[in-house]
Amino acid sequence: MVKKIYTSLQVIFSVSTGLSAILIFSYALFYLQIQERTETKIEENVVLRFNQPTEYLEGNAFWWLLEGSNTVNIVNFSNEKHKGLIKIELHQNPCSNFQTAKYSNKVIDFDKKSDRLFVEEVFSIGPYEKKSFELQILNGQKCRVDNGDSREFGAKLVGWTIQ
Amino acid sequence: MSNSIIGKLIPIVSLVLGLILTFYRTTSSLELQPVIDPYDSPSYFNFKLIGGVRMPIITFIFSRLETYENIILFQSVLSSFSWIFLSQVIFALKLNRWLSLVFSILILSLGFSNQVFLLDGFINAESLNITALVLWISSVFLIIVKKNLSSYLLFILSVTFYAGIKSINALSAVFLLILFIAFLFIVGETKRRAGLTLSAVGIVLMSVFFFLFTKVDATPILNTSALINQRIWNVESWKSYTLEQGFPPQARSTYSRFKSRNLGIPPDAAVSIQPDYKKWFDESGNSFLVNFMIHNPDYTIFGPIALPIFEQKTYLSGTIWGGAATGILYDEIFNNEWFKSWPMNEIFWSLDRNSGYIKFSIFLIVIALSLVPNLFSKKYENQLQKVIMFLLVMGLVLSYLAWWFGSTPSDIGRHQFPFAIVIRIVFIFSLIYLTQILINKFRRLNN
Repeated sequence: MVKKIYTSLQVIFSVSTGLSAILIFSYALFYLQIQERTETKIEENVVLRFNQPTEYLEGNAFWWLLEGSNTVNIVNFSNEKHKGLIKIELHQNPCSNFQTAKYSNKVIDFDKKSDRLFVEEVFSIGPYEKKSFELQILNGQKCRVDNGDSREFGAKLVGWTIQ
Repeated sequence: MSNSIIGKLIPIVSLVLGLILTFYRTTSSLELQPVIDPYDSPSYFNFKLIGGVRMPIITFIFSRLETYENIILFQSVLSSFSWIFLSQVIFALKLNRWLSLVFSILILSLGFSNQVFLLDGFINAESLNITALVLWISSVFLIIVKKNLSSYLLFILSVTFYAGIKSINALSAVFLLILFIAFLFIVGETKRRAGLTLSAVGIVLMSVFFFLFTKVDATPILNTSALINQRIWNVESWKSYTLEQGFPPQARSTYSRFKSRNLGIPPDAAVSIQPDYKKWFDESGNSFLVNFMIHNPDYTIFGPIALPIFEQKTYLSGTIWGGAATGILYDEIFNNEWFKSWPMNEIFWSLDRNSGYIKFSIFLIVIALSLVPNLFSKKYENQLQKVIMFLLVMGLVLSYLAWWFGSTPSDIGRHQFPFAIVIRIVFIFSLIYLTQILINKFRRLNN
């Protein structure tokens, strides 16, 4: 009798534990890894950070990128690998002489008709990883303002998205 | 050197290694800053034998130790001691001595990994909770192997210690005592007199634990709000039931508002201090979770292991498997100096969630395989296999209770950490058991 109870428990637990293991393994390998799915949302876990201070105009955040090289940091707050596309929107500087953005062997000219430039960069980032890429802003001439601010203005970064 | 001297030296090697690790652990701990939760930590210093917010054993210890530094030192030393003790228990199993040494070191490597180490720095119940659990597991092995009075005494002491650390532990201890006594009788691993004595002591302990559980006012008002808003609200039929039970819809609006932007306090806390929610909770909400589970048996049974079958927007991370696979690993933990100042141990833990799942499934496969030998044999004398099965059941009970009453998706790693530890310990013992079988087979073949 005792042996029968023990054997039944042995069967129940070995089968259910084995099945659970197979399901978890399949889920991790086939559902997540091979199909490149993630449990966490990329837009809630990966963010951009800039070396320049955040400024506000009418409640909207923006950053002044300086002429020359600017570092864009990508930070992953989750324990999952994320792949996606960064889209950064750049506007003209106060001197209206922002011409070109250079990054990762790409060169994009400022579109005077639409009055904006979009930097698009495909990225892949590991769990809790911090990465960065250089974004070069090239102006026609130096852009300085006469209000005491000594920065050499490159382009106005008005927004970014990660998808 | 004779075999008997080597046999005596091997456990000492493991012991010395454990002591060296303890030295490094405690000295490293003292160099780090304590991690204090301004809302939570002070409640652990308010000792009350009956009632209060926290259980009496932990509040007694913390209030006597007084300073954060003393608490950290105490947690660090006691945790190290519990893991060294478990690593020494392996030698009591009388297996191959070199095999015992390897697995004893493996146990130490788990107990001294950074996920366990970092708990020492937190001024809350988590470190002592794991310490008590490890002592309890050790005592279960000793009862089965040694069957002497001291192992029974250690069992009773460790259960009492465990139950007095967290309110959910007191409830778990009641279930686990029933399970353990039943287990001893079923497997016939105890003498009748010892079994009856343990049953009598067990009934007294269970009554005390249950009494203390009902008297402690931990955080059910917060947990009920968190579980409704983070889990139950996502499924339409569960949401309807919740509203029928009088849950104020305004509480949901508050949750959504506080979740959408940082308004100073967490969304669950914002709900728990809302007057209409508090009124509902005082009138009927305090029994809501139990009533919900009775009315939704599918949720109760399958929710903890397969939540995505109810709501496709949820993932395995919301189940007991998710918490147990990754352990306590949130962004703030990853960036904590306690986590960074100690090695991780890649055998048991992963930074990457996906490889965490894969590793965890391998642990489960090994455990499942260890239950297969002797399945069709007429004998069922293998004690180690019986303990493996009991600990697996025990881990699941702990895990289910934590999931039902506390494991919100945002904090599942912490709530499921005891389960994560139990599964890893069971995995090590399953590996010992299977390796021993293989060694015996090779020996027979060679002979």
